[in-house]
Amino acid sequence: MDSHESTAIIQTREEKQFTMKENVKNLLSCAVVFFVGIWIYVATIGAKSFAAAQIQPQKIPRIVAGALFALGFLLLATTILSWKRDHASDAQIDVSSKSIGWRGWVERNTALFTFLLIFLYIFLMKKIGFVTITTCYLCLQITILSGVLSVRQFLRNFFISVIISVVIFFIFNKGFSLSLPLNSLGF
Amino acid sequence: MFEMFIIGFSQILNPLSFSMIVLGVLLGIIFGVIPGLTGSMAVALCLPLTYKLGAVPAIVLIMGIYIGGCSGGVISAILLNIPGTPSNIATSYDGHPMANRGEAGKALGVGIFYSFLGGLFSFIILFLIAEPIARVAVKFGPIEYFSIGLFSLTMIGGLSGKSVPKGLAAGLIGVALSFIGMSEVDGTPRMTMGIVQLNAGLQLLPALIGLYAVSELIKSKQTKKIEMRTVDYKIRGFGFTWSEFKQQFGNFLRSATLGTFIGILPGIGGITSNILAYSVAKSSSKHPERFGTGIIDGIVAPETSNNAAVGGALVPLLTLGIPGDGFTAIVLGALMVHGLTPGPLLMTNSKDFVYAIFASLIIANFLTVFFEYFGIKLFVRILRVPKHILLSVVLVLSVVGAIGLRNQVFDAWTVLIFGVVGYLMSLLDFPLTPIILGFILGPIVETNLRRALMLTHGSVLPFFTKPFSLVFLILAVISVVLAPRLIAKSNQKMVEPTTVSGEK
Repeated sequence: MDSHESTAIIQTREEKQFTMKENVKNLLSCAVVFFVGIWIYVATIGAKSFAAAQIQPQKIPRIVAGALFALGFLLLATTILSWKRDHASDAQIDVSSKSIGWRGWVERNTALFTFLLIFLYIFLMKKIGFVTITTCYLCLQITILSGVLSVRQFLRNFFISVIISVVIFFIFNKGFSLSLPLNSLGF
Repeated sequence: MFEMFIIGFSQILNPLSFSMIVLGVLLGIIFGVIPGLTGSMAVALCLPLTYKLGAVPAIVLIMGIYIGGCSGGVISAILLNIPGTPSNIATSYDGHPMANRGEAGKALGVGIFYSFLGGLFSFIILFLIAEPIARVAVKFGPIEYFSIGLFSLTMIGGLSGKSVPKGLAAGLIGVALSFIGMSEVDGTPRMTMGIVQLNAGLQLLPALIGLYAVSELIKSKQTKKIEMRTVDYKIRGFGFTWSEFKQQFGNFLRSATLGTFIGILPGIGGITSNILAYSVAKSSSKHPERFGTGIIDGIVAPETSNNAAVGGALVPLLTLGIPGDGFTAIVLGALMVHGLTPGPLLMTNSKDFVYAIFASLIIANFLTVFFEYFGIKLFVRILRVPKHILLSVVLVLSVVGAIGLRNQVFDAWTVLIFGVVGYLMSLLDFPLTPIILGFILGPIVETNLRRALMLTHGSVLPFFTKPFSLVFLILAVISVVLAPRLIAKSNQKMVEPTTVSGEK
């Protein structure tokens, strides 16, 4: 097998993997569109009617739900057609170039960690005060996104986080009288 | 008009307002320069700052960010070959090859100068047509507003990216989210799922912050491996000769007109205009084969048109209260925070305020060219500030901004929810801007349809007999028919120049 031939085979495989991912994405997109349509329909069941209105309050949301169903079916049809056309069942999921170990695990789940950090940041803000929680959040978020974990780097991130949190607190709480959640120590 | 401009300038030429424009322009350029950060994020960051400011300093700050943000991306597009914002995609096609050839200074000079000219051109058009449009629009009733809203909704098709059905679905999801809360006509709670805080509906600004800032942070990967290597440059004058300026005049005029017109169309902005202007410049050039190899024609067209779209996008916002693009949607929200509702009434009742905006646009445009020209070394250095620190700080400021809106931590949760929605939607290749436009346009369309039908006792005939309504309904049909074709063409043209430069 010469080099041209092997390049062509690699390209075809990559194209198939790409199509596979695209098709999975499109199927998930259909599910999202159908889900929102069903949610709109269910959520408007209890809405009260208004006698004088030409259009009841639930009418237009249900038209939107109907349009979403139509788009969902359109997406589904195009996805199924392209799936058949590309014979993508032969394709494999790309697992190359992934880091291993805990660093790799953190790297692969950055989005999840970021989400959890923001969740905890908002959840704990009232309980432990703006400055404390902002310092913790910033320090952890910067560490996760930088992908470097050493004591020296962590201390540097912590120092940066303290300064940023205090500056933001003073600008908005003291400077602009914006009431930010405080702890018993007043920050 | 001249007296009104004097009043407008007198309102902003004070230390507070002027320093806000300076701050806005600098922040806008910085956020425009750094790939992955956007002008919308910069507004999210500045939003809490504006709560305690008056309406004029607040809005001129945002206008400064708008102008600076639209222009800043030219620097990274040319020096890094990474467009700072999507509006600079086409600039890199010829800008970076020029930089690689040792003409980075010239490419930057051309980009900065024509960004300025494009902006100025569209502002003049805005100043000339805004008042006449508002004078007509002030007579519009719910029937006309419904038709305009419907037409604007159909324009979402133009923002759909690769897939029209996904773009339309994103728009409809935005419309659905706008239904949460009390129905505007009869005050009936809808889709609140029994959550009392949702009776007042979802607030626009936390939604915007969540979609544009938080989703970007969740999306961001670890950045340790990314090295920003810029090309060396030396900038002298604006880098081009008088004869080159004369040669480019036709290209400039065509691109500026195209950009302004595209900007005026609701839902389409700088992203479409820069690619379209590049394609038109290429197809009407005597030497189309040289496009993509590093010629100034390929910088003049996209940089003129993306900045011209700025003034164009402000036309529907200020005259009809309908945002022209994602950024003007944020401007709309910021105006509402300060108790101002854009539309014909703002143009007629608060003329002095509108002219203060106009004056701030001119000053911001001059400041942008000044800062970009003299501060280019600083902005290139900023490209080296770690993105993970910047994004983390943006998140904190976004949460502070959301809490400050109504002094409720509940709005911070809205930010997170929209952030997650934005992240998941972009994972599935749904475009985000249609969600926001749907969120804004949904209530305009629904409320005006219900009001109109109450006025006409259920008859739909007046929608077709009133001339303005009929015109916009016809435009809506045309847009539905044409959008898929234009998107297919635009996607094809986005690929072509990359292939050319890639072949070099």
